[in-house]
Amino acid sequence: MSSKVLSAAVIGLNAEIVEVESDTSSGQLGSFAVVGLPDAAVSESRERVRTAIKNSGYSFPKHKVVINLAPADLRKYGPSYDLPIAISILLMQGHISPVLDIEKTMFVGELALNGNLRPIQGILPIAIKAKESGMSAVFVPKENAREAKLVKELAVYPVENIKELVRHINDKELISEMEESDFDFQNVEIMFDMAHIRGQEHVKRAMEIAAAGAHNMMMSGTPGSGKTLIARTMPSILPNLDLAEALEITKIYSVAGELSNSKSLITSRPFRSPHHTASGVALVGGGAWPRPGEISLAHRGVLFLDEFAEFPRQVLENLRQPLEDGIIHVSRAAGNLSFPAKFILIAAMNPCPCGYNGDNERTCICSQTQIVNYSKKISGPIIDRIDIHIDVPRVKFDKLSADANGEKSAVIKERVEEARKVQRERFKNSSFTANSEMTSEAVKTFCQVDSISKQLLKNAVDQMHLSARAYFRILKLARTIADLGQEEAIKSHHIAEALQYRPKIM
Amino acid sequence: MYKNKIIGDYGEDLACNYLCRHGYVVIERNYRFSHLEIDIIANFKEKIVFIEVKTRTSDRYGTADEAVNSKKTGNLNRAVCCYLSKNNIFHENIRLDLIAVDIDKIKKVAYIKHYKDIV
Repeated sequence: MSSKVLSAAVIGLNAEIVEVESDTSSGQLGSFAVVGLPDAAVSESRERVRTAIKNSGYSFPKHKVVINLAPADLRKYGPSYDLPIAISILLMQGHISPVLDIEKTMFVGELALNGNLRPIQGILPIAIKAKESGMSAVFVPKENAREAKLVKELAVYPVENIKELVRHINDKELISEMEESDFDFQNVEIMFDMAHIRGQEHVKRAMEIAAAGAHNMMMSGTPGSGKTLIARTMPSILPNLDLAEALEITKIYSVAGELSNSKSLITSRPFRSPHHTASGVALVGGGAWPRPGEISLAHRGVLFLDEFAEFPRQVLENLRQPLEDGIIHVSRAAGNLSFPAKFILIAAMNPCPCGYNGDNERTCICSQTQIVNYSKKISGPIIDRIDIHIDVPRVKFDKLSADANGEKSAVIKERVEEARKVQRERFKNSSFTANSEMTSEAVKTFCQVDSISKQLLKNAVDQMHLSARAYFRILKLARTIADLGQEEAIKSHHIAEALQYRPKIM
Repeated sequence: MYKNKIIGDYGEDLACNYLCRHGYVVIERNYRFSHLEIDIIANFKEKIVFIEVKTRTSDRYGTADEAVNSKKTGNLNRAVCCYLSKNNIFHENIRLDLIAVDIDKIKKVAYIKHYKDIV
């Protein structure tokens, strides 16, 4: 006697179909084996399945039961195979005589000992795979149903316990299909508004440019000058997500297990601010079973690294490739995986160990060696990849106590949205969405400059000893500044503004 | 302990009756080999069948058939091997069975379940 049902395994951000076969034969009373490279959680599912079946009022086979998870060379991990294993055993035992097409149905879910279902991670990739491979229905734990239903064309059934599912399959009492839910991309909750920040107009301008073209930004300033607060206002001026982007982000969060039942779709751009004690793996992703790190969780959003200089140098060097490519390749024994990581890096740091170097009011007590050593903590290649470097000075008391509020985030956001619209129109035939993602080939096409600007650029490259990458980054930045001004051509003053965001030579 | 021994022996008697009714010929009962024991050895259609009998009067500690785990079947296996080598019997044509006897003291009935070829 044998039976087969379908399930799925999550690998990176994608899923793979897994066939769960079960067989029983005489001999070896009470033995229950799971084969097909299971990890500890899958092996333990034997006890959960046996107890859950018993507690749901069905009999468990007395003789030897073998479960095979095919393909056998793919490592299986996590508890999501509990439900398919239980269903295949019930099917084999004859407790289920399916009315529906079991070959076109997918089951995933973790079992509790009483036969209830528990939510699992990575439902969205599984649902996408189910749709791709032509499944007619998926049965998922109730808590995961909203997330699975993000794949609109798929019939999703929320299941509470085994009994309910068995009655449904036997066509006794049907579970009602999950309905599509609406998502609001417009009303993004704003925690900090730009209007609350007094002074620092030049920093706000830099933020606006960074948001408009998805450029990286580094702030340097004395303690208490407002670097952290300014960075936290970033999400309020970023353009709203569209559905495709939201799904991309949700997939990452689904695999990382950071979705809750009430928030099945990420509708606002992520803002991640890991502490400076974070390890390299925590930042870029990894582990025995590679999981997305902070940079992937900040995909299409902001990665804010406060106290940038306090991060271990080795940790920061990990950011080199993802900053350039917008993708991170994680290689482990379990396999090579890629996670998207197109994020806006916002870094904040002090200019020296005491923090007051360059301050007008307090004198810096650091020695020259200390200052040099401090600035050495950030390597040249990382600095080269950051388009906007800006000083955040102390705010004068007059400004601080003034009643006048600055520009509201909503107003700035409108301008950013306009600039993004121009970019979307420009890149409609290519894969990138923002100016900072342009390849050097695209820069050549889209960033034509006049002769005055060319001369200006030439002087800058010679005097500031700019690298080839820096040259292209300046052009991209100038493109964004021109877009913000709704200008077709890049003028010399755009280049000039872009140039002054380069790091100062120390 | 004495009481359990009586229940066990009674269960084995019931199992023997059951086997006789089904055409088994009991060769030996309670064959001991140091600490290992085979409850019933019977002949059935030119096969030697070794039978372990489990008796329970309540399912408070699980039913009779749940009391057999891999350790128990391992012991049975060893006992069977000892018996075979001692009597110079060839390994083919043997079988290991389990008979679970659940006695209902109130209704005064016993339920017998026969699991064939458990190893």
